[in-house]
Amino acid sequence: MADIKIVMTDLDGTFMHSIFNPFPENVEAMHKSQAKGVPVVAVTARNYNCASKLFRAAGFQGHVIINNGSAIHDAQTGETLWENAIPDPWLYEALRLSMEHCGVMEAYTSNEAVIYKKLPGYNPFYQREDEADVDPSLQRTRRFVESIDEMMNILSGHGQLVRVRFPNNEGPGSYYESLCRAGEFLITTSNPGIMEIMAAGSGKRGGCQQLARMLNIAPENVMTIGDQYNDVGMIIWAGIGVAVGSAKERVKELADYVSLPFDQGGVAHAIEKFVLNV
Amino acid sequence: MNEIKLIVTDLDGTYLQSYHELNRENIKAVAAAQAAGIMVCPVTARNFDCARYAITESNFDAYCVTNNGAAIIDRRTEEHVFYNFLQPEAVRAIVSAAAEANAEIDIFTNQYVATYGPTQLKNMDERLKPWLEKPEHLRRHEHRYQDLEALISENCNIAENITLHGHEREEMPGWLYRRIIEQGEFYLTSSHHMCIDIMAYGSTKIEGVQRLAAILGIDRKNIMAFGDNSNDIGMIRWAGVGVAMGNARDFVKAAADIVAAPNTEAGFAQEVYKLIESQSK
Repeated sequence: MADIKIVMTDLDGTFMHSIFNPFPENVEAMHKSQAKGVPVVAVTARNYNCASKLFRAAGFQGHVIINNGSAIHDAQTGETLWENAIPDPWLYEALRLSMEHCGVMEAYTSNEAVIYKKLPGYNPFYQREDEADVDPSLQRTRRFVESIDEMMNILSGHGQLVRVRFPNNEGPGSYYESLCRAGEFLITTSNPGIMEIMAAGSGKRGGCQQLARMLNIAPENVMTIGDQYNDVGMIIWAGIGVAVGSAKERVKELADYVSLPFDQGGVAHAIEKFVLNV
Repeated sequence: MNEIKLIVTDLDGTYLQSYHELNRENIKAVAAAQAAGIMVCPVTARNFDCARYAITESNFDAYCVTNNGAAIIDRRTEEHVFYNFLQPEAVRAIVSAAAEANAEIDIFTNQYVATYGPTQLKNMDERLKPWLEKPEHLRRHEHRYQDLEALISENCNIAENITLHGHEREEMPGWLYRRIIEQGEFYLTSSHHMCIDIMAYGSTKIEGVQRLAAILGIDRKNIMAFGDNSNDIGMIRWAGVGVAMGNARDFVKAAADIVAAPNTEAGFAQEVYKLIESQSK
């Protein structure tokens, strides 16, 4: 088995305890891994703005992969090192169709979250009670718009991800069919009822692959860790793909190794086994 | 404009008059381009078997990008220069779910399409007629399956892309798409109405053309790309000169540098002759 030279880990449901708090044992394992010369990189469906304070607080160094593999940033400075935006023609169609078929959607650049607000029963993604108590300086910035054109003005050229929610968790077949005719998309799901739409070339596998290439690291020297369907791509691709014990069944089936559940040190255990104790 | 050394062209809706009909003007234009030192290669969503007739008649250069970028075939030997199969477990999961949803399933390998479905699509014989009129060696090859397990086990290791149609051309259910999405990361596109094309990560026309360019040692600025559909936008934008056909949808035209005449008016040939002339000065 090849040496692991880098670890790429999902955040929510894997590395994190809650939206802004990582598990201490995972942070400790990360520092030990970094001390050994093996970086630990976050790969998240969040955008940079939403995750940046966390990156600094938890001590992530080097690079971070955000928007479900659509961009790579420097973890500390936030500089954009790579971006795979959705081409504007496809983006416009994705927004238009999403609005037509289900309505609830947000679109993201690295630093902006743009929310289409003209919908009954609108409830922002990831709006949780525990965020209400969070210091305003840590809160995410969001922009509320009333038209697709306004969205395109803000996103133009840098729209990386469209997040869509369906009341019945699925969405009508005609929506997907229209979307497929509008472009070449990669669609994943980070949570039941939520869909992420990106351009072909993004996705966590795409982001991880791109970073590995930039750092001259071969896939067999990469360990990835995740829990959800949107982690499957990077789990299959990496030399060692780890599913935490609390991951979805299908994700565990496809992994090379199933670790402890995320809230029992799943990430720390994998780092110890494959990086620290070899 | 930089010197164009390679022309890449979509087939259906672009180079071809209709699905089975070649345009003689376009064939002559290919020859003229080649005589002027410009290579011409097809980039198609079809598998090689379904494109063989058009490719042979047109005398394209050796390398053909097929299956929407999942394969590059040397047409002289019909061997893969590049292939990107779907993961076997993903094929199994997707095909099983599609069967549960009563969808019509086409699994495209390089050399044939494996089909399975509750009933074959209506007017199948009508659709097959033009193929049957061709000489034997130019007909498309189809393996029809009655047994789902046989379909999966015989094809899951060599599947380049999967196309699904709703039974009786009905809409496929949302849960089926969700199930597909849960299996991993795929590219989803649609090459014609009421169908979904599922390709492995890494299979798009733009990636196919990028690989082709690398194989031939040609820079993107020296490439002209022709297309008409949304799955052509990637290569149209990436190539030095992107050409959208007159029959293309508006947002495809918006992505191009040049809008040609429609495919039914030999728009391809017109642009190629203009190019040859401008480069001969």
